[in-house]
Amino acid sequence: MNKRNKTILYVLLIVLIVAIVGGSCSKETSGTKVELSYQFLQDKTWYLDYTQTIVNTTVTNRSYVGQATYFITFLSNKSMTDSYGVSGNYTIANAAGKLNMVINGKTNGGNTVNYNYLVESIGSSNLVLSYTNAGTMYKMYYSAK
Amino acid sequence: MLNFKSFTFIIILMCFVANVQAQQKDTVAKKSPFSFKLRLPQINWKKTAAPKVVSDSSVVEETTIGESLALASQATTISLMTGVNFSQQTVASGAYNSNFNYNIAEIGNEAYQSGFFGGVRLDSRYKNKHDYSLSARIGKLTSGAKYTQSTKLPPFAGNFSSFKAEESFILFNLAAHYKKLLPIGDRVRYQIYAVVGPSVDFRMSGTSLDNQVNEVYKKMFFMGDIGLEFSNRKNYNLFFHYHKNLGSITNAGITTGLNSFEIGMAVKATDLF
Repeated sequence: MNKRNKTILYVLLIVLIVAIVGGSCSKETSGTKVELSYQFLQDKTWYLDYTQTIVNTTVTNRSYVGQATYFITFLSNKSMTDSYGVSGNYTIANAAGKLNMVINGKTNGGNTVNYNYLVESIGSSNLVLSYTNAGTMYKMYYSAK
Repeated sequence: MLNFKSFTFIIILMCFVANVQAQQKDTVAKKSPFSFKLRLPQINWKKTAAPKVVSDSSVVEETTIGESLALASQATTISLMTGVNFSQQTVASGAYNSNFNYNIAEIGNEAYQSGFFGGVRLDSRYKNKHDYSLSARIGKLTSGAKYTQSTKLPPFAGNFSSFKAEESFILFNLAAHYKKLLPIGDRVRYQIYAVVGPSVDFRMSGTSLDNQVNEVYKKMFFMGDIGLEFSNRKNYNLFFHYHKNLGSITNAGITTGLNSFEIGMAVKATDLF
């Protein structure tokens, strides 16, 4: 192997090492975040276990564990139904690093309902959603059964 | 794409090793400053070697790979090695925040999980005094994960983590070990060495969706190795190594330690081919 080929070989080697080591630097994670959220959420029924009502620094807790409680089912075809008889579709979006869930549904009577939640935390069996209305924050704690 | 890059990387590394050996062969007469450092065997990777002139005539003789290896093995031993490893990750992710929660009771597994590896190893001696080995190998590492820090998600009961450790990797490892002969047993028949040295792992595999969110795992991490080796007249080596990462194998404020025990065997290449 002559000197020129050796030089090419060394350069290629260095470029490959840099490519492999630095390959993760420009990864787009926004879509992955949403995809993982769907993976956790879908094809499960989520039961409301606790709610928190937060006004300024005052927190009011309420537990529904062991009671007939509100539940909502998310399917993989992006449709949903809940215990109030609302059915429709849902989407999750990543906006400025925050995950938002938008539900567009209709009641049994045909009335349109729209919910817009912030996904605080999501896992395979625990989900925390929140929304704010007139200065009061409502947090809902769901578990998948 | 990653697999293609990894494959190309391995091929070029193999070419690199062959090139270094060829270079050494060329520079022996020139007394290169590198010629004494690595006593690499003069292997002809092609089926035929450079012509060798026989003394009594001008007949050209060809040297095969086996003959080259046999000649080289007088000073250096090239072996193929394989073995199993048992690994565990220790995760401290208290400072890491994400939108995702994992119940530690569900994902935690403190057991050492088994994996396997295979590769090439070179044993030699520096200045006819210091034994060392160089190895390149690829393997699958499967590990349990021990979470040392947790977060709460009140009013839910239990301990949670925002990070889920990856369960398996495909790693390409390069290692350089210093070997110290221990004065144990009949050293003419067999030798027992204590070995120590650094190694570097290149992660060839991707990660699960959980870890693609923030790409927390590094692509390359350094390890410190220590172990014992049993060598039977350099025909084969039985080795037991312990690997511990130097630094963390993750970014983003997560400190992840990787401990690995491995048991393996290296067999002299000339005995196999």
